[in-house]
Amino acid sequence: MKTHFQREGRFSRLSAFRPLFVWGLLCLSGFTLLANYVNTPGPQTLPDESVTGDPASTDGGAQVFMFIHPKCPCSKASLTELQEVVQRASGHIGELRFYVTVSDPESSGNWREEGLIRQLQSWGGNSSVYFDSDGETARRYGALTSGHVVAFDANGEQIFTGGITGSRGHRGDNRGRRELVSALTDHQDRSASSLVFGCQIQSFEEAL
Amino acid sequence: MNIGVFQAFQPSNDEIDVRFQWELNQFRQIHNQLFAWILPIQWIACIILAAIVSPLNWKGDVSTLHPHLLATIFLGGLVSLYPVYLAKKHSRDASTRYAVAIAQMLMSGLLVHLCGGRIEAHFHIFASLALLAFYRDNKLLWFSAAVIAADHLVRGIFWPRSVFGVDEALPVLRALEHLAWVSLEVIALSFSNRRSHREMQGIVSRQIVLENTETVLEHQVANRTRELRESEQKARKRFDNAPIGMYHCDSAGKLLSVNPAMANLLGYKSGDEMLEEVETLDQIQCRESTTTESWLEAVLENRGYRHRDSQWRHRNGTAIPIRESTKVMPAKDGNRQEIEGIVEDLTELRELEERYLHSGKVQAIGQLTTGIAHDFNTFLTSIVGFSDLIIECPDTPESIRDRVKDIHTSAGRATRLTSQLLAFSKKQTFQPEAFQLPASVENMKGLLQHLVGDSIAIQLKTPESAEAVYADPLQIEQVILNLAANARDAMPEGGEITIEIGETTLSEGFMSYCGEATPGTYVSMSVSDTGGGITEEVRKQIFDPFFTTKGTSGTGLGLATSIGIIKQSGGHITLDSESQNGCTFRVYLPTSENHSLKVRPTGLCSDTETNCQSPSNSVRRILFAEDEMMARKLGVLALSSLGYQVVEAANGADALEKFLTQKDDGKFELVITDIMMPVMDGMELAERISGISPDTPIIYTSGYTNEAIASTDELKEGHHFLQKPYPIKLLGSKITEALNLSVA
Repeated sequence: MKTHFQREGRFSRLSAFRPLFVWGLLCLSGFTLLANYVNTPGPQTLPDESVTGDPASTDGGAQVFMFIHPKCPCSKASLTELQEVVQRASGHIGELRFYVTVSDPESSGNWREEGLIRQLQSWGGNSSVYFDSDGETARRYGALTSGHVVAFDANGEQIFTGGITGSRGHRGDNRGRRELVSALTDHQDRSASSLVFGCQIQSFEEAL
Repeated sequence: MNIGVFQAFQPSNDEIDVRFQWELNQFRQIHNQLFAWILPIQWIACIILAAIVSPLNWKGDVSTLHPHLLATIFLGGLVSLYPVYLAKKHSRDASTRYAVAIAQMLMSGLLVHLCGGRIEAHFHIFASLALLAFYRDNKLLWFSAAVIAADHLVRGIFWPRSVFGVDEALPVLRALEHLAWVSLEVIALSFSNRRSHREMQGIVSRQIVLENTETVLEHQVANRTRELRESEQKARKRFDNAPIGMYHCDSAGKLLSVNPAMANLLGYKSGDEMLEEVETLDQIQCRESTTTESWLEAVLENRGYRHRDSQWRHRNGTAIPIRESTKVMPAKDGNRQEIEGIVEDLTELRELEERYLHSGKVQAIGQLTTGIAHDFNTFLTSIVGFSDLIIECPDTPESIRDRVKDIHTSAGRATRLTSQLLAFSKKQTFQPEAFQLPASVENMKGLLQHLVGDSIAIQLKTPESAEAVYADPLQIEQVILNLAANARDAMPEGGEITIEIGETTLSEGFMSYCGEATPGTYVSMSVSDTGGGITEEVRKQIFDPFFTTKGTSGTGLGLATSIGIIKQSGGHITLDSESQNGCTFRVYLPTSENHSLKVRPTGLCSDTETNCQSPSNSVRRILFAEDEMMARKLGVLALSSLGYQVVEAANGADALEKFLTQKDDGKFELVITDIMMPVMDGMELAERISGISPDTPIIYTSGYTNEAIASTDELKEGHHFLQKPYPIKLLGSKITEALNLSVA
């Protein structure tokens, strides 16, 4: 009886702990790297000094430009957050522009068919979609990362630049979104900024 | 099995605990295997999800695999595969279970992370805990809760969006809130586990009882099976080694098995050999017996044993008398009926019965002849005695004397005939002594040659010396004469008779065949002839009294007398004969070494001597007791003629009375008494007189001795015997002998 119905080895093999510990350590490291990655913002640069808004077309409201890489999966979260911003700053946004970067019009024709672009085109309201060839416009506005938002008040002054997600592809309340809503609704004198999380619209070297 | 027996198998708490832990471990090992599937499936599902949601990361128009997808592949693989390996290779170890718990919770954490902290993704944590609850290990559940708590706290503090989906101002409180819900589930699952533990313990306890019961039952079944097997082996051994025949057959009489004894009985070497040739009982059944079919029907109707005497056919065709006892018994399969038969060979019994019947017949004839011989002897005593008186009387005319001599001669022949009858019935008085048989036979050679005639040669093969035999020499001589006469009659055309004497040791086997004597050394004497031999039919009856092959010329008493004499001497006689090849009678006589040698008294009168002078008889007074009137009258006359004073008595009581009442008239110096008398026989009379007067000699007379005096060896000192009928001269000499010995 006792020989047959033996109790299980209750951590009897101390040698089993060594690989277990190593495994746990590796897992911890993996999670840390992942967390670091998603919380590492994309690159951004300063806009050209000549860049301003275009108050004539805003009917007294603010202008909001979002720069999108049409294949960036993280930008879906940015669009969701932008939808939240539009709702919260309803009546303060005169024009909403989406600049979809297409680097090579000949070879990237199919990018225009991306679901993200169709989503932008069906946004409606005072929004419009522009194809930004080679990211020229984005570079002028200092946007190197997909999901980058630049906002101008009715006078054409920049009031916000940066991302509106807290990390890559993560929806939810975050400081960038709150800053944008505040800039649109509170008419602050200063320009707010935040980190941008997403794919690079173009390489940082190219942008420079 | 009653409740008490179950209670007897109730296990101890330790036994239950050990078994419960074992069962739990088995259960957990099964769930290790379950998670060995669940973890990879989750991993693959996460890869698919990541591939759909964020397959690529872009830098301009250059794409690489999205870090989420890479993290899912490599980090998810790292998290999942190691516990899978442990579950496969070290499923028995508790550490495996804990590795599985860590992995499952990390997979929840990864999913929550990949889903950007969506609240829906947190449900995976609860599902994971529910799955881990399958292990029924509360510590494991709390450990899992601790893992997810650490995950939430660390990530909540440093990367709150990855776990809460938003930038949390108070991540610790948020994490604790999450953990409170997790703890609530763990508590609920723990209660459920405790309940299931109790239920499992109950089940284990009952299972142990059942297993113990089963073990005992299996043990009992094994014992019963072993006993049954041993019993079958014993039965088979008994069947194979039984000294009597046994068989099994079906209800139609088809033989199923036959033991060696039955096979041997019917002339087969083995049961298998017999079964190859004989299929049914009917084939060995003699037709004159009851049919097998009707017999089997009768057996099947009766549950007990049925017996019948029957005859079976031997392999060589001869009929064998058997007694068959049969009984119905269930076959091994329990559905059919078999018949078991026990077969006794009755051949020996039948032979014994025949011998017994023959013996009874011979005994009846013996009794008849004895009675006749007794009366004849009594009558012959008168005839012989009175004819002696007439012959001896000087006044008898010569012509009358001659005729009376003829009467005397005829009476003598009649005396010999009655003597033969008594010898056959072994009632002749036996007067044994030690003597050399070869010498006796050598002395008889002339007589034998004269008996058989010149056409037959007699060859004697006698050793120079042999053990003395202890028998009545005169009777043995009579046997030799009888055998020689038979040999002569078997060779009417002449031939040769060989008499050979030797010594032989007879074994117990031979004795059992003969039936009556003891084993030991015997002197053998064979009498062989060269005649036509004896057929089997004659051989069976040759020793019967009054059986003769000589027609009216034979009495049929020669061999019967011989066998009577030989058996009375403690010996045996056998016959070897083959038809047409002569025959040999072999006589075995006991040696004298087992007897105290009694030498015939010398210096005294022999039976045939007549020249002994009696002492002066004028004063001799004899008491003569005889119940037969004529014999008594003759005795009185004879004794008176011999000069004795005779007082006669009609029986023993009369004689005793006269012995007591008339002793004053003079001393009785001799008592002569018949043995067989009414009221008081001669033996009792002699006993009483010896008690009164031990010195008084006594002479017994008798036509036969019955059991009273089988041998003169048995006579006391001073007691004598005289066989009826006796000549007066012989009476006189016997009286003289008795009186002389008394005086001496």
